[in-house]
Amino acid sequence: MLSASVISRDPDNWFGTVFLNRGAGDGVKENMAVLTPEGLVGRVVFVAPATCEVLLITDPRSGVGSLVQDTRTSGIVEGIAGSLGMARMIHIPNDAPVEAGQAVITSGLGSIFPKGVPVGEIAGIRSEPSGLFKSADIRPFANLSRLEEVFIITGAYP
Amino acid sequence: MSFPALLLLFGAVLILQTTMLDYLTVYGIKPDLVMLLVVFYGFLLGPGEGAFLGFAGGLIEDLFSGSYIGLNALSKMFAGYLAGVCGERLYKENALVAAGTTFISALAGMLANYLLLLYLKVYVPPFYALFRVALPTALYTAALVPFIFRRVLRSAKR
Repeated sequence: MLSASVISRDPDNWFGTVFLNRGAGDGVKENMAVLTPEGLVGRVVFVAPATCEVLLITDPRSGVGSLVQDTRTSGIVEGIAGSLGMARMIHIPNDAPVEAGQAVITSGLGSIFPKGVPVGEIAGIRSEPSGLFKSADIRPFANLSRLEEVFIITGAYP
Repeated sequence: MSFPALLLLFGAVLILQTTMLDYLTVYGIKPDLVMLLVVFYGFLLGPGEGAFLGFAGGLIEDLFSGSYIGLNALSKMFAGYLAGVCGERLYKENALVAAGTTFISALAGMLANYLLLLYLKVYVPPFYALFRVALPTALYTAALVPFIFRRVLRSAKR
């Protein structure tokens, strides 16, 4: 695990990315998971010699394979917009017993994020337009708008 | 203000945008200072200059952020052009008129940005895109106009 500081953020409100002061020279590689003691932050998407760019879980291009911790219901947590500070868990089966307040963790599927990392808390549930699934609004545990120090997981890199 | 000086100003504003401005967010939204400058100068100098400055400022922002080159260039070019068209028809030396034009042009630029994101297959739900990103960003950006209006008006007249 490598500690890093946030040195800048994305300039607009659509995306959610941050730049860290660690890069290839420190052993950082693409797709390494980034987190804080509170929970998951995102993954490394670009690496330069001394810096790297992290895609936050609230970025609309982000997707994290996840599980509801209590019921083990699986779904994908995707970002909505970087400025919103929220994500949503999609493709939850209609009959799955999910409710507000439950914790969501990473499932380990996709071989990017290690299993069991806290992602966020379910804030609300709604039906998807197709009617086949429901989706849940996720409030991330990590305070993504006030990130200063993060950890990059180097050891679990596949 | 000369064009090279404006480019330097854009660079300085972007450094502010990616670092300090995150401490001035309101419900996660930060103002778009590059859009503010583009729209302001477009309003004062005309549609051609506005479009050109918008393209230049947006391109610098795209190069800074390292994501989709041309995304902000095109949307800010549109916003700058629209602000220039408004400037030809409205009284320029009124801060409220300038703020209103900034709001309309910034909103149009944000909507252009959203359409380009859809083309790039980056999906943000329309409700969130309009009411949680585009409108608040345009409002916050326009709210800054009265604070800098006189200074920018003087520099544009030089």
